[in-house]
Formats: sequence, C-alpha cells, structure tokens
Amino acid sequence: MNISTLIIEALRNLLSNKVRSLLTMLGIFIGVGAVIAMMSIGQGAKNSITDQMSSLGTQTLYLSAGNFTENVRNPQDLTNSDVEAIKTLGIADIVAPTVSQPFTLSQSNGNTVNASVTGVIPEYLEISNYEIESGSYITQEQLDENSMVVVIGSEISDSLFSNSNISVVGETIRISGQPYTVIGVLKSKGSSTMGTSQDQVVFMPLSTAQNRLITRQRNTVGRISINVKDSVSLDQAQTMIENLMRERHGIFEGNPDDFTIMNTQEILDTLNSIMNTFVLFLGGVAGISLLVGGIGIMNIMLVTVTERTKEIGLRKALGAKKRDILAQFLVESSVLSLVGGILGILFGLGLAYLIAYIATMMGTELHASYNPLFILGSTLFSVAIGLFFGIYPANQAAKLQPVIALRTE
Amino acid sequence: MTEKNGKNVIHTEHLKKYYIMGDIEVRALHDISLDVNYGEFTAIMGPSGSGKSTLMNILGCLDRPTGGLYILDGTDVSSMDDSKLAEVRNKKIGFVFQSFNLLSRSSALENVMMPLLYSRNKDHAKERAAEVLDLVGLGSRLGHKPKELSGGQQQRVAIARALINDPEIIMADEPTGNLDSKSGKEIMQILISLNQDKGKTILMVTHDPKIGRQVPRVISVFDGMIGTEEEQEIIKNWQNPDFLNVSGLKKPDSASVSLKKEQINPNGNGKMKNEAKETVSNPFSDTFGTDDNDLEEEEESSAADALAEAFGNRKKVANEELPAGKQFLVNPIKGNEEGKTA
Repeated sequence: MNISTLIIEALRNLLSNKVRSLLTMLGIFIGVGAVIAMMSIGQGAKNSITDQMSSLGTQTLYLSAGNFTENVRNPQDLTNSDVEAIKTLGIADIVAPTVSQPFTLSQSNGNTVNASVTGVIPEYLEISNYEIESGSYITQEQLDENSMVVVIGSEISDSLFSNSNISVVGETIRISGQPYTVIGVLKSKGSSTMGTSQDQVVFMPLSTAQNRLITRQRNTVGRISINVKDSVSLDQAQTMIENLMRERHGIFEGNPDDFTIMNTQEILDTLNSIMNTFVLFLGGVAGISLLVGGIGIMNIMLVTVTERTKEIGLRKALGAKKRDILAQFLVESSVLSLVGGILGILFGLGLAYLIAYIATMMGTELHASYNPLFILGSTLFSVAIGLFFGIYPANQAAKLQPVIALRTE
Repeated sequence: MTEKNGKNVIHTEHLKKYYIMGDIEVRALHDISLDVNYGEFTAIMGPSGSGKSTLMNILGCLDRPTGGLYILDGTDVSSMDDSKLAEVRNKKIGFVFQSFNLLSRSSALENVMMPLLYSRNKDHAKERAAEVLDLVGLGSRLGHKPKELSGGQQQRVAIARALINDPEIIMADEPTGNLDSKSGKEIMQILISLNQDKGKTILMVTHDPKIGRQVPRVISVFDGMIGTEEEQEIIKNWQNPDFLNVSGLKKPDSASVSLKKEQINPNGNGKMKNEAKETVSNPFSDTFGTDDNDLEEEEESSAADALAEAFGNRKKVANEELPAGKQFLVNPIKGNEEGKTA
C-alpha cells in the first residue's frame, strides 16, 4: 500500500465519522494552539526585552564602585579623576559619570514625591535614550556653573504638579530644602523591562549634585557609563578599563577588583538565556494540554479499532499483513493529529496576536512573534503525537486474528 | 488460471485443531484427511458446532491447524507465519462471506480493488476491477455504494472481489444464506459458471440440504471429523421429502441420494467414484445466465435449483464424453491433466 492510498483511505474513514473526528481533533487543536500562543507571546516578550536592552547600546560598559561578587575591604570610590583617566584612554565616544541618591521632592502646593536624583552631564541624554517633552536639557554652562536646575520625568511632573494646565517648566521644586528650577520635562518611556518606572527620574547637573546636594565626597561619582567606540571591541575596552582602574586603585595582582564593570552584551546574553527558559517553560505548560489531546487520540483510535474489528478481519482475509493494518491505523491517527495540529497552529497564532493586541491596547507594549522553525516543529510534533498515541491502538488492530476478527459483529 | 502444482489443490493429512478452554481441551477438528481436486465444486456440510467452520477457516488459511499437514496448491501452508499466510490468502484464495462483508464507505469498484492494495500486482487495478464486476453482471454499477445495491448485487460485488486476484480456489461461507431464493440462485449460477467456465475450484460451506443434495461433492463434518458411513446416512436423511414439491423440479430422490453417498468420502480420498445418473431433468437450457429474466417464470427458484440445473445437466453430458470418475472435470485443460496423471 502506498502512502497516498493510505492517506485517502484515512481521510475517508475520518470523514465518515465527522463529529467524533472533530472532537478528537479539538484536543490536539487546543494543545497545539496553546503551545503556539504561549511560545509566540513568550518570544515576543523576549524580543521586546532584548530590543530595549540593545537600545541602551550594546557598546556600553557600566563601571561602578565595589565588587558585587567578592568581598573587598575598603573599596575606593570612583572619582572625577577616574573619569578623566578613562577619557584619556581614547576608546570611548562618551564617558558619562553619574551620581545618584534618593530624596524627597516637594512643591510649594504641598505635594511631595520620593525619587532618585541623579547628577548627570549633558551627554547622558544621548546614552539614556530620553527625549525632552518640554523645556530643555541640562547644558554645559549649567554644569560649569553648578546651576540649581532639574529635568524631571513625566511621572514626577504629574505627581508634583497636579494642575497640568500650567507649564511646569520654570516652576520651582525643593529637594532637601534647596530650591531647584525645573528646566525640562522628559517624554514618557513607560515601564522598563524589569517593571520599574523610567519616568520617575530627576536629573540635575553632575557638578550641582556633587557640590550642593550629595556632598559626602565632592569628587565622587556613583557610576560611569562608557559608550565604547565602534572600532573597539567591548571585551577589549573592558580589559583596558579594568587594567587602568586596578592600576589607579593600586590593587595588587591576585587581589580582586574593588570595582565592577557591567557589559551590556553580557547582560543581554544572560537575559536571553533566562527568557529562553521562560519561553520553553510556557511552552511546556501548554504542552501538557497537548499530551491530553494525544491521549484523546489514543482513546478514539481504540474505539475505532474495536468498531472496525470486522473490517480488519476482512482486510486480513483478503491478504492484508500485520504491517498493512498497522500502517492504516497509524496513518489515520497521524492525519487526525496533523490536521488538528495545523488548525491549532493557525488558532495559536491568532490567539497570540489577539493577546498582544489587547495587551498593547491596555498599555503594555507587547508583540507576538513566531519562528517559522517553530511552526514546522509543531507540525512535526503533532504528527509525532499521532504516531506515538496511535501505536498502541494500531498494534491492537494488527494483532487481531483474522478468524476472530471476522466473527465479530 | 495459475499453474497447477500437483494433482490436488487441497491436500490435508490428519489435520487437527484443538482449543484449550479453561481446563478442557476442545477438539474442534480431529484427524481430517481430505483431497480436493482442481476444478471441483465441493460443499462442506455438517450440523452446527460440527467444526465445519473451523475446517473452512483452516482450509482458507485464516487459521492454522494445531497439527497435521495442509498442502494448498502444492505449498505446505500448515506452518507458515502470519504474513506468508496473508500472501497466500491474497493470491490463491477468494473469499465470499454470508454477510457479504463489503466496506460501506467504498464504492463497488473500490471494494473489488481492495485485495489489490495488499497484492504485489497492482497494474491496471481499475480496469481489472471493472472487468470482474462486468463478469458478475455489475458492469453498470461500478460507482454504487453497497447500501445502494440489493443483497444479491452486494454478493456479486463480493464475488468480483474474490476474483480480482484470479485465485485458485473460491471459498464461500454460506454465500446464499442471507439472500432470498431468487438472488441465491443467481449467486449460485455465478459460482457454477466460475467453476465450469473458468475452472475455479469452489469450496462452500452450507446448511442448506437442498444445496447439499445438488452439489457434486459433499464433505460432511461431524464432531470435528469427516463423517463415517453411518453419519452419511444422516446427511441423506436430511433430505426434505417436500423438496420435490416445493422446487417444482422433477428430480428423483434416489438419484440425489446415491450421488451424495458416493461423493462423501470418509477416507480423505478425493477421487470420485461416480455412477451414471440418468434421470436428471433440467427445465432450463440457458444454465448460467445471470440475467434476472430467465428465472422470472419460476415461482420458487433457489440456489439448489441452479446447482441441479448445472450439475444435473452436465453429468448427463459428461457421462457421454468422459470416462467414469472424471465427469466433474469439465474444464478441458483440467481433463487433459487428469488424463495424464491417471
């Protein structure tokens, strides 16, 4: 028997019992649909996270004081002179030191809000992907003059200035009792990947922060963002900065660093692998319903075999061998699950896009995304399910003795 | 016709079939030795539970004997494995069942083509199927589903299916059992014509004593054994005295009785010791037509009548042309071969 005859025969058998075939298919349909929907959503979420990460610039290193993994005694703070030293390496487009500390902000109308205040240089805007909604950003002059100015995030603006009719720019807010003039409001960026708001920020000139607000040690900076030149590889730059900092901090060979360099590429890689696990996990959970669907197929195929015992006997009497009967029922169960699987793929994709659409409508940016390999995999997988769960019933059929099978009514 | 291997298409020696049911050993068949010649028309008869179905299943290679030897068309099939047996069934045996056993989803043509699915020779499947359907008089109903056909037509489809691989033997299990007497007669006529015109060996299980009386040879089975002389008498006594009145055929009782007696062969020797039967009359000259019309005047035409017509008539003719013992070997090739070996 060739495969096309078998498939035609199988389709005819399935069509002769439409309702039952449809219901059986439904199990696989829902199973495959759920897997596809879950994985498409997961893939979409992963893509948007990695997109956000790479929008930070994959060519960026973050240098901060202290070692996060090992104990270091008396770690030295990073200072302005460290920044200058990194600049002289000539490997970076932008070296942007920041210093930040949480404060309570208040406004003359009595509104207060807690937020982290960050001292930055003008170039920081470029690295951090913020855009100005109204007013202007911090200028070099303001940096040089330790000006008492701030640029605030949209959420801060909303919290402090409940009356949105008046222009926020030019208003005065108080941080730690000191008056600061708002010179700009940032465009909303929404939540970050990690769920924290990116709009609850307050920026002021680095010099102002160091000299007026966060005055623990005047030359200290908290973190240095280093945007490495395209011509220099990130790893190379990391090594150079590492060596420079060890030298400057007088760390002996063999001792651990007293600073930490975060590499965005490394973060991206780690995040990617976490997200992959997440996507697989989602798919695995949905896969359980696929398993249930497969058991449904097995159940129905067993019923079919019992029902068609006489036919099996007849076929055997007419010369069908064990493997012919086996093939007939295996093809039937595979076709059943393949058709269910293909419909399920379409359903799953539809569902994924629907969920993404609804999520986007509700304010969480989400795009469904699928991988063609994924679709192929699911198709093959549903055939495999049909085969796997068809083996037992088909074998039951093939094992039947023709005499006994023919006698069955 | 395929090549003949040896003299007998069926040759069994001490065939046994035992079942174990709980602690009891059931001897479904015990020591069956028989021969069936090429081109014979034989009925297996016996009371319910006598083992005739078991015998038929083993002869049809649907089941394997517990012991003994079975040579089918020159091949020992008693110890073949399942897939070899399936091949043998496919190639050498055509089955006709009481309940037709057609696939209701498939058309007549597809039903007939089914054995070809499992055959090596799949060439011209459609043409061959159409040809055999034409042969059984259903040339115009190729696309009909079984439920669109009458019982007799369905059985004809089944016969066509049995014929598609050009088998040596046609095994029919009560082929007319589910049919009214008119369709039964038609079916029997087809079987007879296959036997006489195409030289197919026909082996048939039947309950119908009327049929049994008319078949050239009867193998009677009692308690799993070929009937003894004494038991043959019982078969004889089965004959319904009313039969003559019912059938409207003038067929002397004595003739059929003696026919039976000679043809039942307890020794497993298939040779027929035939005597001339003189007093068989046949009202029909057109013996094998499958056309309905030629039977319509007949009020009660039955499968048995068809046999009576066929073999009654032939016997007369054969007796003139052939030496005693060869009268049923109506196929010329058959006759020649038998002549050589004799």
